[in-house]
Amino acid sequence: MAKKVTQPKVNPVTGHLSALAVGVKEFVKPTRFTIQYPRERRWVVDRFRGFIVNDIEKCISCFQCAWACPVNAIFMYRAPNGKFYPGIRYEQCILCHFCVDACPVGSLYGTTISDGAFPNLESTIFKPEDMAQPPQWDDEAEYVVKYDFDENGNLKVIKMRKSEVK
Amino acid sequence: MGYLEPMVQIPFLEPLINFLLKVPVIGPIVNFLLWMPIFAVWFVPGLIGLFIPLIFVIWWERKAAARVQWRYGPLEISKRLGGVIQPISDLIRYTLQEIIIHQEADAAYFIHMPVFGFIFALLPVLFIPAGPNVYAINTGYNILIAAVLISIFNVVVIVTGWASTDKWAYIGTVREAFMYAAYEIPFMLSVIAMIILFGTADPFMMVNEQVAHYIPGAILNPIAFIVAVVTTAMASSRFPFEIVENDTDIVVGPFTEYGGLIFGLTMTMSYEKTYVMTLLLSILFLGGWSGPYIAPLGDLSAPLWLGVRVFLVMMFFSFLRAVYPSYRLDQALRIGWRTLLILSVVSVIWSIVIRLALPVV
Repeated sequence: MAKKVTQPKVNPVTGHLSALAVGVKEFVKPTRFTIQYPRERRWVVDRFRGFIVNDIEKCISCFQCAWACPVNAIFMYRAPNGKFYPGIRYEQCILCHFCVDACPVGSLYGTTISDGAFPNLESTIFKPEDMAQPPQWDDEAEYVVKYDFDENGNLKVIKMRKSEVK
Repeated sequence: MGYLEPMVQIPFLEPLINFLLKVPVIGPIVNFLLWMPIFAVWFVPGLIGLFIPLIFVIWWERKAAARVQWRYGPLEISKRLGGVIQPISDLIRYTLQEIIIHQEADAAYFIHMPVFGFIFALLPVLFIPAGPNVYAINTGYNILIAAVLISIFNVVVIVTGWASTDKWAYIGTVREAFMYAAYEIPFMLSVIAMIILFGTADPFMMVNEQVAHYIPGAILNPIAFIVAVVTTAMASSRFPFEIVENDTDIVVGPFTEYGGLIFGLTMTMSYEKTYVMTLLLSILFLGGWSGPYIAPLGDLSAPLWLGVRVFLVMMFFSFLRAVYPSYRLDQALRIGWRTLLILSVVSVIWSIVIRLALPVV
């Protein structure tokens, strides 16, 4: 059954006054929590799924990561020693870390690095040698911002210097 | 050689001015600039008096709206001052941009109308005094003349939109025409109510009445004050009546096709109108330039107190951007033709009643 929705009745005077009051309250003590990105960075948990690194020493070339990948982002590249090592194409990768879970020897492991700019499409294709260490990008951030809740359930923004975090 | 009289007296600059007046070429120029009518047109309440609030209010509008809406607003230019010189950098950018006149536009009207608009929007300043000794023209009917001159400006906006030959400009023009008809009558009636209340159209006498009784016009006739505030918001397309230049519906309304410096002119037009109408509001309702006399400033003491009021009222109008969404055209027209028209007629009756009951005021 169709129900007709009518405009709620608001007293114009109190409505305008309460709107202005909300505006003034937000102006005096804003509840904004925007991060000014290049200078500030969001704090993330250790389990955050970022770029993936492969420890070639441990890798047994078992192809389990390539099998597990739901988007077929992992290619296996043949190395001079005859073994195959994984390389991730980050244009396809959805950072689900199924490959990390699938790895039987713990050679693949995730980092918390999630932001970086690729200058062109070729640079999104990571070869095994690119996977050997975490990707290096210039980090302009001076502060790390962490969100938390106080005892009343209100949002609390904690701003830390980058050196204090790690 | 005599001096142009009367000159504006500024005691704390007196030694410098006296020295400059004796310098051969600069002396007459300084004398001319300090001559009262020219000073009123160029400095307060004229061009410089417009630009200082303009730069501050544009910054304040963006910054305050951003703060309320959980953003930061302009920040990157002059980061330590919170981006306060952003409007100046925008002005430089507008100046350096190319002015494009598209093929369908009526070129003569298209180019000239923003300039006329800029002049017409500032024209009422000739008749609005900034203090007992700072005014351009004094006729004894200044408030009426200023209120009428304010309404010329809309013709320019309509011609601007028509000359642009553009879909959005056309819609904006039609909206401007509708809005103009909706707010003009209540605004005029609220001004007339104050003229009836004080029994004069002379701004000096109006302010003197308010000072003499220690009661501002806003308390003597609160209905006229409310109508004047709402119509000012409508006339200068401030929120919640940003209908003519609504960015989200019709790009910038009548000024869609403009670019470069001419767009800068069109953008300042609505702020100019806010400034002029705010001056009128301050004189009619908020006690004008009344305030303690500051001896070192001399004749500039009164404009300072008027400027404080103008700043505060303009900041209030800009702050509305943070609070309100904008009304639809039909809602605004309903407010104009129904609520405001009735209220303004009531305010005129209120004035007549007060005038009859308290002949002293």
